[in-house]
Amino acid sequence: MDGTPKKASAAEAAKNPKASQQVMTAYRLEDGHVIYLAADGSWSEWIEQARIATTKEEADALTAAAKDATDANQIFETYLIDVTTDGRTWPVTMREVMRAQGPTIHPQFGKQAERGERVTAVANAAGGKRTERGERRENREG
Amino acid sequence: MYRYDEFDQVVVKERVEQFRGQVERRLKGELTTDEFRPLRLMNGLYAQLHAYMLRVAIPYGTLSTRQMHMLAHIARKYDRDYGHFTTRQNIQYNWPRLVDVPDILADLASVEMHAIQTSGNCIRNVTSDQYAGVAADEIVDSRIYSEILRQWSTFHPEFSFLPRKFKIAVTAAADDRAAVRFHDIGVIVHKNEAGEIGFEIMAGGGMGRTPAVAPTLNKFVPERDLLAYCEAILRVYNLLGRRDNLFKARIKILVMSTGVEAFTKMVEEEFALIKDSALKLPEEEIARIRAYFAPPGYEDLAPQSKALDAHLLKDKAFADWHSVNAAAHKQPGYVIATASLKPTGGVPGDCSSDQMDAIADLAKKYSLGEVRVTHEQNLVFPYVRQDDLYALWQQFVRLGIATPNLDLISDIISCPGLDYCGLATARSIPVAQQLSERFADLKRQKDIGELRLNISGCINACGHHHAGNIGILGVDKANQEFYQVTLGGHDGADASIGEIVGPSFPSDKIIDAVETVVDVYMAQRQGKERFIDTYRRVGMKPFKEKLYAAH
Ligand code: SF4
Repeated sequence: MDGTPKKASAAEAAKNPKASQQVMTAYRLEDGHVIYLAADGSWSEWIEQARIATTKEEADALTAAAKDATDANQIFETYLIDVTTDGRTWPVTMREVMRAQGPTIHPQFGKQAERGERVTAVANAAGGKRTERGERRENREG
Repeated sequence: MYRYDEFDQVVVKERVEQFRGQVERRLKGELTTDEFRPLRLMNGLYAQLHAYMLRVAIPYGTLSTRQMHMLAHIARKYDRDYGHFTTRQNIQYNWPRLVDVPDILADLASVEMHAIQTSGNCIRNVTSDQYAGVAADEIVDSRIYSEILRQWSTFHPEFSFLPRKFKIAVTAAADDRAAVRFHDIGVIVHKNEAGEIGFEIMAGGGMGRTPAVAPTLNKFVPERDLLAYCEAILRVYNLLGRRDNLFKARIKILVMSTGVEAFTKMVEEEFALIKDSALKLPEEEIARIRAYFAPPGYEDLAPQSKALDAHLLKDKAFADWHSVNAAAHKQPGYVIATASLKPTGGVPGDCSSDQMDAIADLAKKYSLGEVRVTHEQNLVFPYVRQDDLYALWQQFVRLGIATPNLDLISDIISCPGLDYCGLATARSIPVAQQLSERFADLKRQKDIGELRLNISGCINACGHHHAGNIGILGVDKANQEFYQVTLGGHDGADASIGEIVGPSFPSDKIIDAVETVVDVYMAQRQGKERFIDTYRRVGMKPFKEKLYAAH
C-alpha cells in the first residue's frame, strides 16, 4: 500500500468522495473469476455489491474476512482497491476498471457481457491512489 | 514431419494425473494457495486479469493437423471458442476453469502436447527460423543445431541454477527471422570458403527493461565446437553473473559491465580449456539429429508452376497477396505461404475454433500436414506446391486469413496488454486495432513497404517494442493511458534498439503520431529505402520536429 487509508468517519466520507473508500477483491478458486467481498459477507462477482470500508478499522475487517476465506480455500490473491461511489461503486484505477468489466477487445466476454453494458465513465480518474499489490510476475513472456 | 523428441508419452501422462490429484486436493482445501501456486505454474496455468490462463507449448512453433484440431477442440469445449497465438510461439487460452484443466492437459497429451513450463533459471528454450528446412535462403536446416543445443542444455546439471533464465536462438538464413541478436546467445550458421559449417556466436542480447543487441564474440566457431563454445559462455556467466538483483541478473548486464572484449577473452580462455573434451560434436551425432529433420516426401516438380503463373496474371488480388505473403522455397515447385492473423481491425494472434479446424484441414490438404506459428503471430504453411497455391489462397480468403500484410505496417506484433495481462500499465491491442484500420489501404501499406511496428503494454516488452522500427510502449500517467514511441529498432542481422523520440502521447493522439512518423519517412526516403534505412540515414531529428512541432 502506498500509505495506510486515511481515517475518516462515514459521514465525512459521504461529504467528501475523495476520502479513502476501499473494497476487497479476490479471485474465485474454481474458475479464477474476479470477485468482491459483498456487504452480506458473501463473495460477489459484482463490485456494485461490495462492502465499502472508509476507515482503517473497516479496512482491517475486510482484510481479516479475506484471510478467513483464503484459509477456507474458496478464493485466492486478495487485496484492497480504491473505489468511488459517485452514482455507483466503481474502481478508481484503469486496471481495476478492466477487472470489473472484462477485456475491451472482447465485449462478448467477462462481466460487461452479463451486465449488458460497458461502463465508460471513470469517476475521479486521475485522483485515485494506486493500490499496490504483491510483486506479480507470473504471466509475462518477456 | 519432425516429432518433438522431448515428448515422452509416459512422463507427460503421469504429470497430467499428478496435476489432476493436486487440483482435487486444492479444491478440497488440502493444498493452500501458496502450496498450489508453484504447482499450477509448472503446468502452464497462470492467474491473469479476469480468469485463469493456460499457456500451451508449441515447440519450434510446429503443429501437425491433429494437434491443430485438438487446439480447436479445447477452445470449443473448455474455453470461449478461441485461442491466442503469442509472440513466443505458444497458444494461450484465456478462460479455462481450474476444474477442467486436468482434462485439457489429458487431451493435449493425446496429441503429444503439453503445457509444462520450463521454469526457473535454466536454459529455457532454443528457437529457430520459422522457415527452417524450407527457406531458399538458408545454408542448412537450422533446427538441427537448435535441437543439438536443446538436447545438450536440457537437464544440464551445471546449468540448472544459472543467475537467471537463458534463451538461445539459431538461424542459418541470410535474412534473420529468428531475432538472434535479441537472445542470451544468438547463433548464425555460416559456410566458409572450404564449404565447412561454422557459427557466428553472439551473447548478451535481450528485451525487457534493459534491451541489448548481442555483440559477436566469435565469427566462426567450427561445427564440432558448437557445444564447447556455448558451454564456455555459460560457465563464465554462471560464475560472474549477478545473483543479488533480479533485474541485473541476465547475461546482457554482465556483458555490458565487463565489456565485450574482456567478456570474449574470458570465454575464449575457457573454450581453449574444454574444446577437446567430451563436448566435441561427433559427426555421427550431427547425422543422428539431421535424420529427424529429413526432408518430407517432396514430389518432383518443375521449378516454376505454369498454373501459378497463369493465376498470377489473371487475378490481381491473388498476385498482390502472393507478392507479400509467399516466400521462396528451397525445393523446386514448392512455395512457403503465410496466413495472416492480423486482419484489419482484428486482434493480432487471435484464432477461432472454426478457423483452427479449417487451418488444420488446409494443412493436411496442402502442406503435408504441418503449420508453424511465428513470433510475429502468423501461421506458416511450409510445404505448399506452387500448383496448389491459388486454391489455398482462396481458402485463406474464405477464412479471413488472407490479409496481404506480412512485414508491412499492419502486421503488428502486440502483447495482450491491459485487456488481459495483470502486469500491464496500458492496453496494447486496441492501439494495434486502430492502427491497422488507419493503414487499412493495402496499396498505401505496400507503398510504405517493410515496416515492423511492435506494441507492448508494459516495460516487460513481450510485444518486442524495442525491436520495432516503430515501437510503442504503453505507460500509466496518473491513471491515464499514454504511449511512448521509439524509432529505429530492428531485429535483423543488423539489429538495433529503438530510441525514445520524446514525451509520450495520450491514447487519442498516438494513432496520429504514428501516421506523422510514417509521413516524415515517406517525405524523407530516397528510392526504395526501407523505413529503417531512412531512419538510420536521417536520424531522429526530422521525426521529432514534426511530432512535437505544435508543442
Ligand atoms: S509486455 Fe507487459 S503487458 Fe504485455 S504481456 Fe508482457 S507483461 Fe503483460
